[in-house]
Amino acid sequence: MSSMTIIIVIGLVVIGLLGFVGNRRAEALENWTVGERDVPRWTSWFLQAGENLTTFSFLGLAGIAFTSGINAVYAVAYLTISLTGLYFFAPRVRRLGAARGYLTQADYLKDRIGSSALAKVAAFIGSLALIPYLVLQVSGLGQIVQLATGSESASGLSMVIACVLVVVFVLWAGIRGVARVATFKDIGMVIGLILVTVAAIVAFGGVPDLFAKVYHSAPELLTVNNHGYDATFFLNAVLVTSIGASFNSMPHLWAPAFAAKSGRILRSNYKWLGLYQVLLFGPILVGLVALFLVPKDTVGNAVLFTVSQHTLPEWLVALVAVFGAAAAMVPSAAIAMGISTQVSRNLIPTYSAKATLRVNHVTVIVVIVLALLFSLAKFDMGQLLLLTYGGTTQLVPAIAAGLPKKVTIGWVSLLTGMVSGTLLVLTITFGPIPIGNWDSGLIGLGLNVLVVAVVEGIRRARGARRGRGTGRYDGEDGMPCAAKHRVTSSDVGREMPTAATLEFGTED
Amino acid sequence: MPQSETSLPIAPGAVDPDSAPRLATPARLVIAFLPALGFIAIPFLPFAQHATLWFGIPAVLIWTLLMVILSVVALQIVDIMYKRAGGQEFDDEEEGVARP
Repeated sequence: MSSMTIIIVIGLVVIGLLGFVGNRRAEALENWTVGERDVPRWTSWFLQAGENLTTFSFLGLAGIAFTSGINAVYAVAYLTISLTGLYFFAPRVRRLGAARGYLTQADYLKDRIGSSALAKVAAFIGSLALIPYLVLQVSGLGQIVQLATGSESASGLSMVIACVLVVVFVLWAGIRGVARVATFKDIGMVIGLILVTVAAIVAFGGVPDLFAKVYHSAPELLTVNNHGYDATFFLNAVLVTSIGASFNSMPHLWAPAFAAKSGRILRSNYKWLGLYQVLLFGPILVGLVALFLVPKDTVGNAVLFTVSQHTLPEWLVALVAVFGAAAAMVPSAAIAMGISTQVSRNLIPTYSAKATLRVNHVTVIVVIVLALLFSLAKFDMGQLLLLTYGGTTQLVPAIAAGLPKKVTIGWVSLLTGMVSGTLLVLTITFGPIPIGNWDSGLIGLGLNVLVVAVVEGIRRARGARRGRGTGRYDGEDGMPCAAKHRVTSSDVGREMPTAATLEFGTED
Repeated sequence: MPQSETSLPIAPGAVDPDSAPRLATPARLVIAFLPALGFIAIPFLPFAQHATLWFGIPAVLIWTLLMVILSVVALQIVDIMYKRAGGQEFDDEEEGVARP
């Protein structure tokens, strides 16, 4: 085992211990998922920043800059726009979650839209769509280690160790464990990106020289129309990802919002997190430096670490690899939590809080093991990843419809739109139907919204003819949704049930 | 006691989520998302069609950086507007309320 491998393995163990040591065991699902809903500002910052600094920052972005130059800024664009959207979105859902006991995206949909069926379908789509994304994180970790050490066995060993540690600290401490590791990961990513960027620039001879050389030798890389990337790709990528991220279409991102202490903390963080995006210029610069430092046939994902091996001492490359591994472990933990919480709370019926927690924990283990096996087998996730982004985007209309004080769009319309959009994404992906640089998720969303509009129009017209209301009062059984739990004057003086004791089962 | 319009009543001690001042007013949305138009416009800008350097740096990189900074500035402005419209009082109430 080389010294680099030893450094990386020690680093992985330290990361795992961070998530485990000092955190008391979470023994109830709510506490495990969202803590006491009192996550303070700086901890919330690192959780919120989680999606901005990932393995994509280390592997993907430099690769895109290497192959197509400044087109890579599309990532900066969609991440920044997403933060603006989340500034408005996250405080509202946090408030709703705190008031009504939501733990998952499906809880929110079930209560706001008034449909168990829609919530279950959304939970199924969201959970299934996250699995390829989880595999991407685990295999990304393996790639980082292999690139840093040059050893495939070190890659496999690291993936196994990392997955075991993620399972341990997630099961033990839940969101508290994830928050602590996220803090280390974000600080490490900042250090790692700065190290790699500065080393690359110094090795090349300076930023002005770099751009001048690109301008004279490959000027097309300083435009947004080159090598298969064009305005269609740019707009599709920015729009679909901004829309999806602004509405937290990925289920695993809801727990950090629910866990924050207040809306002010979320707003305060989101209004400054845009500055984090400046860090992403680092990998873009590294990708451009790579044009003159590494062989032209270097695979995109290998660019950043290949440059690092030319410009940094071995032990620093190993350290950067540890930070990159953390960038994979944190999202892996969050994704496993997101899937397991929805499965145990919204998909599989259980009859006690203990049984729910047990199902939850078994699901964590199952999805992590699945992701590890797919990664070790080097299963090509390319097409399935399209489902991650394209599939979760179909949840946006229902999520958006649940935001206003009064929800006026019927569950039938939203569910029909959701299913239509998802089926179209599946058809385009596995048909396959060539769509050029258009995004299947955006096309699916277009159909989704159209179907919602048409079905809602029909529903309201029929409702008007029958003299019934047009809002969410048309529940699944035809009775007003609010009738089951309506607070009336006869409840005055009675002990009110808490959100936890209502539809979502009792607490032991 | 008024009838609730949602399925679940508010947990004891929790702040009514619908009592908050409106954050996403049309004016604030326009201010906040103006820089987003700057991002979306990138493929159509002349300096993105042809290799262009401003002070030795690719124009697209400078433009992108400017839009990032403008996004941060825009949200600062929106947040100040919200706080002046009653958001500050609601924030204080929300953080002072005992956890359910």
